[in-house]
Amino acid sequence: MRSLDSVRAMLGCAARSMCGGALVATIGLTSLHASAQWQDPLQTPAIKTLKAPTSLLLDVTLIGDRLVAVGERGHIIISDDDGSSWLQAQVPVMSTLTSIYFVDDSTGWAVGHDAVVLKTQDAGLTWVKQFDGFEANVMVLEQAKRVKSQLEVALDAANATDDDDRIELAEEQLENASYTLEDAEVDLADKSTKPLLDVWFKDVKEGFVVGAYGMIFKTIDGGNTWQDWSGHVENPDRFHLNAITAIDDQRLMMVGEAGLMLRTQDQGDSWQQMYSPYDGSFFGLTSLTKQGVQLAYGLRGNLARSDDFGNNWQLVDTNTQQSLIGATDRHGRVAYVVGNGGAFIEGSDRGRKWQSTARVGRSSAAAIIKSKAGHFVIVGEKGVELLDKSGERMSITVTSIEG
Amino acid sequence: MSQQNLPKTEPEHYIITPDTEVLLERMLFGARGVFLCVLLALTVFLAYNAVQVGLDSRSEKYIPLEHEYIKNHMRHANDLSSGLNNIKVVVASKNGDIFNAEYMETLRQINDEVFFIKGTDRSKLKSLWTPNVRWTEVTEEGFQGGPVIPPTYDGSAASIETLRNNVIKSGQIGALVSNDFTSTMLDVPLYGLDPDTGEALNPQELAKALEEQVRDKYSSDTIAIHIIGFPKKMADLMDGAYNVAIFFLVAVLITSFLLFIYSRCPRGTLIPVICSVVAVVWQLGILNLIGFGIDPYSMLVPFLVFAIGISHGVQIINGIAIEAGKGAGREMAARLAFRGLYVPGMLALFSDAIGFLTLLLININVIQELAISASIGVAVIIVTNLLLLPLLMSYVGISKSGVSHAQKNEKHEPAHWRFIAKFTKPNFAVTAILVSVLLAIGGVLGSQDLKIGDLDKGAPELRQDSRYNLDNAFVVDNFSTSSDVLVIMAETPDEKCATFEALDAVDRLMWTMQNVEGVQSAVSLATVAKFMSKASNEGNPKWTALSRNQNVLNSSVQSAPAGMLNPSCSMVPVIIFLNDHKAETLERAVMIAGEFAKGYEDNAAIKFKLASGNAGVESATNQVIAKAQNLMLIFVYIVVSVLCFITFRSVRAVLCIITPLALTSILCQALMAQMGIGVKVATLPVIALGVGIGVDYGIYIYSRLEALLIEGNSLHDAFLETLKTTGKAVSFTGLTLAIGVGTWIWSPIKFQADMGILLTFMFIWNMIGALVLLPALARYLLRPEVIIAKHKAAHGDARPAENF
Repeated sequence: MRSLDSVRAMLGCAARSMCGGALVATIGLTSLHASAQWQDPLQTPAIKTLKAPTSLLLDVTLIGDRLVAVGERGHIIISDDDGSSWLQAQVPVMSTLTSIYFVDDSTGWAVGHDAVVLKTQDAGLTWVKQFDGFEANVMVLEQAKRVKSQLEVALDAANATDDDDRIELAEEQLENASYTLEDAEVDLADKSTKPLLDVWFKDVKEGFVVGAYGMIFKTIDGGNTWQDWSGHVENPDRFHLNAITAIDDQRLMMVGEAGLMLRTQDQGDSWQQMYSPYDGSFFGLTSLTKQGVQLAYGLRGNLARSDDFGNNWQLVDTNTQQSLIGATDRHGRVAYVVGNGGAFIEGSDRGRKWQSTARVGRSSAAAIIKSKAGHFVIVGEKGVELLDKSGERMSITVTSIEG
Repeated sequence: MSQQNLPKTEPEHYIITPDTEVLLERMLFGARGVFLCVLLALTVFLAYNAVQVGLDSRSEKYIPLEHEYIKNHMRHANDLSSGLNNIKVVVASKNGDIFNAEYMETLRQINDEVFFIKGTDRSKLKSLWTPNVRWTEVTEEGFQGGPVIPPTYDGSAASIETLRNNVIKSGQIGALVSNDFTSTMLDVPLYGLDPDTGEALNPQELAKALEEQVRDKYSSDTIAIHIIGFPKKMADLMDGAYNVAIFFLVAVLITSFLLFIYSRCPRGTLIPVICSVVAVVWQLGILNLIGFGIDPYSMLVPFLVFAIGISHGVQIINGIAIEAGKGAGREMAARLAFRGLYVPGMLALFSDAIGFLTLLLININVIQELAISASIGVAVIIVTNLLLLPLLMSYVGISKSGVSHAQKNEKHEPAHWRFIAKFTKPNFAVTAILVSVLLAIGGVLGSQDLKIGDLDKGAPELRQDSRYNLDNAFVVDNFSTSSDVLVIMAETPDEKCATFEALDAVDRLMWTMQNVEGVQSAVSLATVAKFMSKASNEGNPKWTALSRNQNVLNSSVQSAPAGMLNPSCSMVPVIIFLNDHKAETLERAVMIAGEFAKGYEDNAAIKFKLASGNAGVESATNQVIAKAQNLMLIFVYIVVSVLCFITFRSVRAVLCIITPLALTSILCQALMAQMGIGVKVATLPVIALGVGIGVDYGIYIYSRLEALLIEGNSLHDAFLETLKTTGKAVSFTGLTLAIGVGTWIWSPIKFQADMGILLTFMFIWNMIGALVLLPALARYLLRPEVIIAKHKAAHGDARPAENF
């Protein structure tokens, strides 16, 4: 009857939480966090998991020899062996992260849902929160009030001129501003947050984060303090800003919802709309620096090309109907773009000709980068995917390192 | 015939008092005719009832209704699409993929057939041919979509190509279309009630319709049909159950044959068989009277009742033959046999019945009903085989051939009995005890990995190579679905199931569970909300997150598929797919989920309740069984020990009788562990049945041995004499019981086969234990002089009654 005792011991074990600890330990810290009361994702550190490299990842970048990827539930993972094994970083939030950018080999920022901004100064191992959606709501509200009062002044001025067109325009703008203000008030009251979708820094001090509903914030002190920058951007409909990219020292571009294309020639002090060849959304933007070519890509395989800093944009045939989400270049020349439904296209002829292939498994991808070793590291809904130079899936098993 | 003419003997043990015993015998045999008429009338009445006993397939009988998980499950049963009322029909193409006109035409015909099968919820039927299966696509203008089969479909290459594209865009790969595009599924939700009669849908009729109108009609060289789903499983189980009736006939025939070999008397064969069948009839009749039905578990009971009845009948026939051989007349022989045997007989049957009743400790209806029906069964044997049988025999008498066979046996000392009698000698006794100790140690070691619960894949009730399990394996291999589902119910205040906090907590639970070994994936309203967030933002994966905007969350709830939340938006099922339903997998999953739930016990926005889904129900069952298992074993051993003690008034006697049983129990567990049979609803009763019935051997042998010792025989001589009479009957009994349940090994129902294997093993080992280990223990435990002194003190010089 010893065996019965052992069974009973096993079950008695299940009843006693002390004993259960041994089992919990095998799955990491999962339950330790989980058993606490619910806390806001912005106040909850990301759960340690070995599944991060195989679950949703949304951006990847290369600093020196190190790959850093971000994804859902506050996952940030780093790999020093070209993407075959990954270590999870310490992240103070559980919010889904959408984008990552490094200015040098150690300093970088990650942004994501709940308008969270995280900073690392040790090449991605540990992260601190610098900004979040609740702070953003306050700033957006202040900005909305500011704009509204400016427009009220403008309307008074217009009324004084008796110029009907000007009055009508001013009234319309004021009405828009009123809606914006209402939205901002509701968001603040409801603790509703919006996602940041991209990040770019000029150096360790100065940079932008951009996101949904025209959110754009600027810092000049390395992310310690942020300023609502939407007043400097020509985006009256508050379309989503999906991507921001530098073209050279002075010039930057942004793309977004409903064909929105913006550029600046003064390091972001003022942004103007460009003429867009497409009404659908652009999800990303890549600059082929060696060739002076800019590429904007987005919904349903649409890709626009410019070689004159956006004076002229032309849609080119990509041979795919799938939405294109992320891209990378090779030495500033050839672009590779990935997207939903296994989309993978390679450009040639300075971005005029495109060859389309479907990745095995046809999973959706959000970002692509070339590893130091020369193969592609793609991240997306299924986590990390490694493709060799010719676009074939590599027979390397992606693993997690316990840390 | 007056009392004075009877030989002056005295039963060694009494159930009540010596006076009442004599009275009982006198009453019974004094009014033989009256008793026979009464019993006959009762038999007719109960037979009438027995015919009406129905098959009971209520599924809630199989689950522990008092368990917290099940209570939670029952509270939300209406809102959980349990998957219990759902059939999946897979149409597989044997050569090539599904994208050809011929396949699509077959699929269309099958779709039409299924549409008209009684019970199909036509509005929810899903297949490539139903209009509710659509493709969608995000375009500049928003969503675009349509039915997967294009309205212009005409079987041409072009329309097939459109179909192929639509299928890819429909997101049905892995769901309605297999991962390799070689088969598609019809998802057939059913009405719980028969639309014509308003009664519960009969799974067998449904399964028959599917078999005839779909499988038989459309299976061909190019098309294979696979059908799974709970109702189909129940139907297969019930079909399998009917085979058991054939097993019963086989068992009766084999037993009768053996009985004839044993008794060499046609009357002595026929009467016990008739009496045992009468016992079965009574048992079934009473079941019907108290409103019970027969289920696949309690089907075992008639076999046991028959076998136990035969075994007790054999004892009496044996006794009668011996007494007749000594010259007693028909009635006197029957009377003497009755007098000698009703005490050990009743004791054995009582211990059987009480042993079975310990099963009532397990809070699962089907086990409790098994306990009750088995107890009724042995209780009726007391009447049919201890009373009716000697009464009948007092009329028909034993045949000459039977008497001479018994006499021959009496004088004959077969070599095997002389050998077994040696176990009362020190050398053999020590060897037997040592071997037993070794076996016990081996047994304990061998049973270390005894598991609770079902260990096999698929439907564990059926065999791995059954059609249902093959079909199930096909579906699991080719579609992205698991048949093992754990559901955690997330409860919120009314209309608050889609708050950010609630959905975020649900999402955390899902992620926590997905990190548990053995969990494949998890789905809930949070999954839908995240997906809708992405979809309504043009399919941009960066939006795959829960919005904090209540309006956005509300709109995603509105587009949620049925079953993702209840109508009052106060409960969200979190559906967790497991790799399998092994006990460790279940334990691990419910333990982690339970800890997570504990963290939210005081949360106003959301609470988590375990557990539904087949895995939730199964883990509740496992927990109940694990908890009851030891309790039941302790109880059954206490009960049989106490009964033995009351009868024999000696701890030493109890040890002699119980030790072989304990060894068998240990070995049985080792056997279970080695054969991969878990402790489950089906095998738990086996332990109680095995001990309860197994104790009979010991009681009969010990009782006879003691009587012979009191007469002054040496232990060896007394045991040899015991073997020649009782030993023969006991070994015959062991064989009969083993045959009765052994036929079950061939049952198409896996758990019946498991029960058959284990019971057969237990009956045979208990018999061996009683024949070999009992005398060995007696050598060192029994003190004949004390037994004789005790007897003298109680009964003076009267001889103990013969019991055979």
